[in-house]
Amino acid sequence: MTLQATVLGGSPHGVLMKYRQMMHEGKISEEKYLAKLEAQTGKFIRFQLRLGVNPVSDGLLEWDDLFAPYCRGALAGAERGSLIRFFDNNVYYRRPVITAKLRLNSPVSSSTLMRALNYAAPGRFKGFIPGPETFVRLSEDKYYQSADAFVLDVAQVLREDLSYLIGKGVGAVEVFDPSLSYASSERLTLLKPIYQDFIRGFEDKTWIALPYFWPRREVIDWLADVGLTTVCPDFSPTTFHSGDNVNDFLGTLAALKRWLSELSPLTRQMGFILGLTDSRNTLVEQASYIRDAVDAAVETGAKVRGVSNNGTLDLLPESVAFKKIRVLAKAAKSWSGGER
Amino acid sequence: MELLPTTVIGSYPRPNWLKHALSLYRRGKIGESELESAMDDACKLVLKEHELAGVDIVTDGEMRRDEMVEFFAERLEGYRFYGDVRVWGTAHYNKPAAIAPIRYKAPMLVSEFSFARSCTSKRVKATITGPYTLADWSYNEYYGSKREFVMELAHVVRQELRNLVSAGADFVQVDEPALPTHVNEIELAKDGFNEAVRGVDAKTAVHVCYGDYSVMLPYLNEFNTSQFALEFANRRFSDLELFKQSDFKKELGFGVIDVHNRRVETQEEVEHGIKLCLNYLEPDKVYVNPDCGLKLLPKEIAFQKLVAMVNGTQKVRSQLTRR
Repeated sequence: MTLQATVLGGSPHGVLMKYRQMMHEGKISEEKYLAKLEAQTGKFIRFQLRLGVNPVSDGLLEWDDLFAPYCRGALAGAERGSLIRFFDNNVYYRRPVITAKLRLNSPVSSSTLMRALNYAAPGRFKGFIPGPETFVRLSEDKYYQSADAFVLDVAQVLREDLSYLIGKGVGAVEVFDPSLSYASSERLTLLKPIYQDFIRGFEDKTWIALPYFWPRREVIDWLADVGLTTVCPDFSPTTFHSGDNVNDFLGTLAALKRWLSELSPLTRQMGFILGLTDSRNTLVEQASYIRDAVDAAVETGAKVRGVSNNGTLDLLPESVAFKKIRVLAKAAKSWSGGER
Repeated sequence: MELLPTTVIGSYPRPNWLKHALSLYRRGKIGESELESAMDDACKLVLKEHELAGVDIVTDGEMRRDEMVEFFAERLEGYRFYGDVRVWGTAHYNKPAAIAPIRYKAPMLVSEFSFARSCTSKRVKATITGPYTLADWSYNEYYGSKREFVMELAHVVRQELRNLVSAGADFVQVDEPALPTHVNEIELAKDGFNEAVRGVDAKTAVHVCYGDYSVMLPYLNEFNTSQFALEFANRRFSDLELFKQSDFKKELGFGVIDVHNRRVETQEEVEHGIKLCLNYLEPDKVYVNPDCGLKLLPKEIAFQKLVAMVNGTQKVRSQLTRR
């Protein structure tokens, strides 16, 4: 059995932050900034390819936040609003403000994809979009005045992006959707047909990432019911202990095993990308810990497709983030090679 | 003191020549005493700008601090740095990691406070990052629980607060922007704050910004402080009714200036904001301040924003006096 290592969310922006700042201050041209963006994207993709990461991410190096590319013109009807904390992280985003019916002017991922394809074959690349529920929950609606109509339109425009990426042959698309983790049962019932339409025809290539919340069984069951085949739950110590005992790897591993041992027959058919390396703490996991966690998961009968970080690596310093990717790749390679 | 005293949250943009001096210092082109002299000049300049704008309670703009967590972590035992982390847009800081027990080494703010006080006849507010935010905005590779980490930092902050008071500080603002981040830890943040100010003989304020106020409101009256200085302009003065509903008993430092927007507020907008606030709180319970530190703005804009803040406040003040 082969175990994939992959990278969820974005990568630290590193030196690109300084270039972007210089461009905003008029100290360098946009052309020079874009050349640096291209170079940094290439560097990050080549780094992953060298390690055997599959599929690779472009690191979302031009995304200021989860919604910025949409609210800067790609999505008619959405503007950038006030600055708000992003879940329970010391990171902030501009809240999308919805002022008119949403319409996608152009696929957000087209420029990203063009750049990424200079370095990786489409099938080796993982696209990225925010999830409909997260988009809705983290926005301010001044137009729809009906939660149902709002999420329906958001899901439709995001599907256009999803469809664009899959049409270009990407290996997978990560749908970053933490807000699903706290959707009520009634809300999940409402969302079911909307998500079924959202992923229809793309069920095998759509991964739903659920960072920052320990997986809620009802949500995972719901995703299986919707028809999704791959889910990326957050099994990090920070999330398990809600930020308390963030270095408790043994306790987290035991909790992961307990959680996976109680999968329903339907969720037992789903593929799991286990979010094991903690994107919210600098202590670097041992490769042996990752392998032990995979062993524990496999013993429960869960279909483990791969290992990843638990959320966006942009919450870490670049040097630590890269170490964590190396550990993931090393663990996946040695596990696949039979090292237990 | 007049009604609606105006103040700042703390940081202010560094003048370009100070940034240049820092760059020269980091490249070894100038020595520590030359940098220190440039810092002193910058503090005098900021204090003068605050005075010119008409601000009642001033700060030195935190000229000597690169960042509000980094500055303290660099001066404590037990921290290590791995590199910059983005906070939003291009704003970033060198987020520290606790790798050993955190220990107080020496006073961190006393000399900067004493210097500021010697340069102005205005009341000077000392500002310090609170224990909960110091913990929450660090990585933790050492402590077995967040409580242990926060309470250790509370002892450190308490020691510094006592030193500040001994140096003459009579108004200290403890910055706790992380307070509303984790709903289940607000009690812990409160315990950390109360431990930090235990036995500290000075007026205190707690500064919080960019979070969901509804989650922290049930706890605010239990903080041993007289004031909460909060961001409101960014949220277009919403959420005020929550304070009324929760029987908020403290003074409110009311944020009327959006520090992440370069558009300078008009005097009328400030006036409008304060009047909205006064629908919910008595005037003697309200201070007026920007949402947060002004450091990320161009200096000229920061100054104009302070002028608008003071002018708008004076307008409301004169209307209240006439009543």
